[in-house]
Amino acid sequence: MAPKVDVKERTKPLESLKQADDGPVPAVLRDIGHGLLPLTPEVNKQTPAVGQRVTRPDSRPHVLGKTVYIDDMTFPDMLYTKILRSEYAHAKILSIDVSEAEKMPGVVATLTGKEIPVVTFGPSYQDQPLLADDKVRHMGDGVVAVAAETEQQAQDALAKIKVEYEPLETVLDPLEAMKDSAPKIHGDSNIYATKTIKKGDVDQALADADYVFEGQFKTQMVEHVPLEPHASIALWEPTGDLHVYSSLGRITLGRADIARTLDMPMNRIRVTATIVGGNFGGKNEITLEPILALLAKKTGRPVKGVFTREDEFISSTTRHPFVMDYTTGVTKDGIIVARKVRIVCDGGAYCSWSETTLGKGAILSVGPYNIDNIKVEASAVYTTKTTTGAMRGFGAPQVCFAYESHMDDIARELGIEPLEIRLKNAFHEGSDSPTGQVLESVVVKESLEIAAEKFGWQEGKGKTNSNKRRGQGIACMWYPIGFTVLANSSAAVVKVNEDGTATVLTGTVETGQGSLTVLGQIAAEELGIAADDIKVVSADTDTTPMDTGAIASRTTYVTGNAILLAAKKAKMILFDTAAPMLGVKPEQLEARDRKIQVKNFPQKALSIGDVALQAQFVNGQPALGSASFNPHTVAMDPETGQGKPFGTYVYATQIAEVDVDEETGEVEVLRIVAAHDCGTPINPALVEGQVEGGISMGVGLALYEEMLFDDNGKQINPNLTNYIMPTSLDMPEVEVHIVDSYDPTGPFGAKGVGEPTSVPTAACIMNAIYDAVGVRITSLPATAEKVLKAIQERDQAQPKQIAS
Amino acid sequence: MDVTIKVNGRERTASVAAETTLLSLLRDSLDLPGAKLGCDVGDCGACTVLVDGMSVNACLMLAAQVQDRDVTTIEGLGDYDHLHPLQAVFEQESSFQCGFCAPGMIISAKALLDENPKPTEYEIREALSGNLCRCTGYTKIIEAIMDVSGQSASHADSKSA
Repeated sequence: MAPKVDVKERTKPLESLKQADDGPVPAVLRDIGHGLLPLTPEVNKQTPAVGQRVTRPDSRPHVLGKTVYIDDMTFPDMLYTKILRSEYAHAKILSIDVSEAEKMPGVVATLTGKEIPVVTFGPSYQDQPLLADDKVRHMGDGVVAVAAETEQQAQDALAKIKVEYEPLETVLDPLEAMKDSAPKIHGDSNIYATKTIKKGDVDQALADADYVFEGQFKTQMVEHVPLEPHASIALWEPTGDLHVYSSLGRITLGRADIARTLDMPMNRIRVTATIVGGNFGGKNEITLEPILALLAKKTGRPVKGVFTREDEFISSTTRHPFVMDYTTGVTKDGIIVARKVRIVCDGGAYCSWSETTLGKGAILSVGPYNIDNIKVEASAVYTTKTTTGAMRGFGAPQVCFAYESHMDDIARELGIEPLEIRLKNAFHEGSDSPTGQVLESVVVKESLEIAAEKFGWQEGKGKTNSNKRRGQGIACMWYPIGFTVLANSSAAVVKVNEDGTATVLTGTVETGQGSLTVLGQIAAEELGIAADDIKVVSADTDTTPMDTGAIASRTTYVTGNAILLAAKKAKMILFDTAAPMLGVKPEQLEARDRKIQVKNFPQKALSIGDVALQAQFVNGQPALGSASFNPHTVAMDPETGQGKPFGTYVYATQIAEVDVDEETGEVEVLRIVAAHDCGTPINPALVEGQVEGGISMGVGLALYEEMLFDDNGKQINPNLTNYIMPTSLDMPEVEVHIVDSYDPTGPFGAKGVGEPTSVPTAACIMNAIYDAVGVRITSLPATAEKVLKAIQERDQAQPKQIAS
Repeated sequence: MDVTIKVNGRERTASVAAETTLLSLLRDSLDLPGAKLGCDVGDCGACTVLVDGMSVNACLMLAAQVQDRDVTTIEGLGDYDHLHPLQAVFEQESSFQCGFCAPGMIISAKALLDENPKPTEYEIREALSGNLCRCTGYTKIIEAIMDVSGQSASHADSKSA
């Protein structure tokens, strides 16, 4: 038992000790030359900082090839890890024998699931093993980890591991997996999450509708393909603390998972993220980190693990395939009065982010339309396939493809123009969402009108060019910012330096989306300084505060708001300090052009640096602020789904122009005009970059990408040779228009832009294919083979018409 | 075996196993981690370097094949204070996002412009078609190369509407 310690109370109040002495405030040299710094464009030095096309602070290292990713890091005496993965898609593990592998040259240690203190993890349910210990549920499941002197030695040793399996029946189709007769992958049922949204009386409204339309739509499994594979390094400090360097996109919760699985306190674990080489939702989960930590503990040496490209495909999370059945009742004028949606989400072998995807997908599946009578029933189902998880859009690209294809089918049958039917039904300011949330800053109609105008929607229809037929297609969407109801908090610290520059601490991770730039601009704006006056320090759990991570398009809105509030607090300290110096009240002051000045009397001003020095040295009150922000949400009713699941939403329209070759079925996307709302664009150049990148991902989803499995559940294209993603030759010309909107709850009116950019792309391309050749592609991707088959079926159904 | 190459203007020698790739030689033996390992089979282009002025996937070449040859990696193009014009324009136009493809992309662009100082947009797209990028949709990369080669790109810059 620890000896009792008698702690005496301090006799002198702390406040009395805080008084600074009367000595002079140290002089800080300002306007020192910047000859040692890069020449950055004038916009980086300008105020206001928000709205400027500021260049990225991470650009210089990128273009020099000096950005340090995990695989670029080495530590003395470091070992390398490789993972033996399952031979079966579903099997019991009867025994594991590593004795021969451990004798292989260079092998220092092995690890199995039984050696991990808490072997399972997961954001909703802890159903996923770090290394499978009793059962494998898909072929990507890791079974044994080997640490060796070189990667090759680790790889060679895998062949010597003997694992005895008892194969179990597999189930690859989610509809099959729902049946009672299906083999059970976990517990008693393969249906592991359901979501229901109900509003009005859908059956009555369908009965009363002038017309009822039905359609079934299916989507495929897609991989994120970050160019940088998942990578991490674990080492134990001499203090006994664990230090993990990782390509995780959300380090705070990554640390929580590492702490949980290793049964360690969080303060003894430091997770440092580097700049992450692409995330798109795929790096939001721990993968190797606890395994490497345990191997490092066993060996007393740093251990690195980097996924191979095949590991990326078979073992990391992927986009959920959806099967979606739509029934929609409309009036003869094209007003939608009722919509019933059934979604079956192929949840793969483990839950991961399926529950969230299902919830978001269910809410969004109704479309950005005013519909009084709604019923959505959605289920996530286990299959013995690769784990499906978070991926750019959380179910939204899937449902948008369905509701926008369905919309064009309805429009055609009713003889209403596709743009017109959307404008008739689209949300407006104050619309009631499917969950009963009153929507604000709604600009879906504006996005439709702007996209149509910029595209020249009426022009260029049905042009022919030898075997090619040209078509245009439109799709609009709505998308929420942040998690569905789940707590979604970010904290931030803003410190004003004694020369008037400032440092921001945030736990979010730069994964390429530009958070270091945008968050810096937000802090700069609030402090009245320029982007170049800010440094954003991110992604180190020892120094940066809690953040829910680079996920759900939440960074600008949630982390941005936290930084805005923290900067405001720091600014209030500057105002309190400056007010007596200027002989005014704090509320008469403003921070502008790198000065604290009296409103309307800019000549009465002090430099921010002078005020910061005064605050620190004379007043004993450092100019730093900390704050956190969590979007206001209201839990959804489990029976009806009614509630306020999100803080805010964005809206967008994309219009595609395509050529379809009737002889080959090949689709070429010529151009896409995109009109996206992101609230205030904090940095228009980065907004454009997000839209352009999102569209390329959407083109891949639409036309090329699909993870294919054989009957045993083995992936047949886990590489970039046979898994086709868009290259520079496949990318259409993209025209980006930012739709003017302002969200009063966002930082300077900003909302977000990451995920929604890839949501309507596949939908508008499918509608353009229909416009070109009159075939409705109901399952993605629209490969040349699939399109050609549909054209042939069209020709069999009706005699070929002479092209007009 | 010992391999001697001239890399970024300096003669360097390293002792490597016979099966060592050029990429591994650069990254693991010569402290030049600029070229990245993205797929290890020549699909992604993240490891692109110049060998005697020609762009190659360093993961597909053996170290032994570059004996006495001239290799340029991203580290040889410019430094912090002296950016190569391509590096400057990519920075200026925020062409990259995560940056992992950047070293290979810049080297491929250099190989193109060395050969063809005024490429058409299609020629640029063709020259970059072996360099995968998942973040940018290639748009700002193509625009930057048009700009740096003195041609006005078909700028698709956003207009607040």
